[in-house]
Amino acid sequence: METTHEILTIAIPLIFLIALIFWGVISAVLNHHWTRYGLNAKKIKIIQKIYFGLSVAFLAIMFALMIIYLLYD
Amino acid sequence: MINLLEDEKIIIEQRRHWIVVLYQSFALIAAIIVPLLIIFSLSAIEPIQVLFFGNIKSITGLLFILISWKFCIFTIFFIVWTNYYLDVIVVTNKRLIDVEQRGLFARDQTSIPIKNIQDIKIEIIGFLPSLLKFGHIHVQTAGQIKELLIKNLPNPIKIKDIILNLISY
Repeated sequence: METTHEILTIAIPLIFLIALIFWGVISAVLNHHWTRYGLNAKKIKIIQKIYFGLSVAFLAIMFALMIIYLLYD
Repeated sequence: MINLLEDEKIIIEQRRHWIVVLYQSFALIAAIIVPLLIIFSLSAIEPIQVLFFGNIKSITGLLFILISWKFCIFTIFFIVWTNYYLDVIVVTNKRLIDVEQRGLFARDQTSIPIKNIQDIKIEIIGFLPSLLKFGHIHVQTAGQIKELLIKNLPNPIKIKDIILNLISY
């Protein structure tokens, strides 16, 4: 059990970092496509709000869980 | 963005049928449900229960992994949706424009003047397409592109009628 926690102590920040980079790249590409090729600007604005709002919520939850995991003994 | 010509007006803008995006999302739906089912079933086994649900630290670690997985699926879903949303046909009073989004980094745009369209054939094959009224449209042209195939469009008969009306004007 201790070994599992030792692995997770390294893995969780690493997963968070990878998720953040993956999200950053994909978001930049998606946003570029939506603004450049999207036909309905109003609809695109709504989609951007949903996507970025939920993404930030996901990342905030992940960050909070990571901090709790790393600080909790 | 589609740049319209002078006096050009969009008459209809049509995407693939929603069943196509639903079909592509099946794997994502499974990817959401299956880990939850596995955790739920494994939680009954005592050593696993102690390992993953024994204390707050373990639960937090498990939750972090689950949320990361959901976040990954959420992002992939938006990639699938973007491919669906940007894959569109636009009929204007002057042209038929078919935009095909092939993944995030490839995009085809075919533009056919309405006056070059010679014939249109529609294909609705199978139980589901007949029930949900979607099918393929074959557009025969006089230009360089001899035939344009547009797949899985909802209401192909209506689109055919609109284009034929434009040709007859």
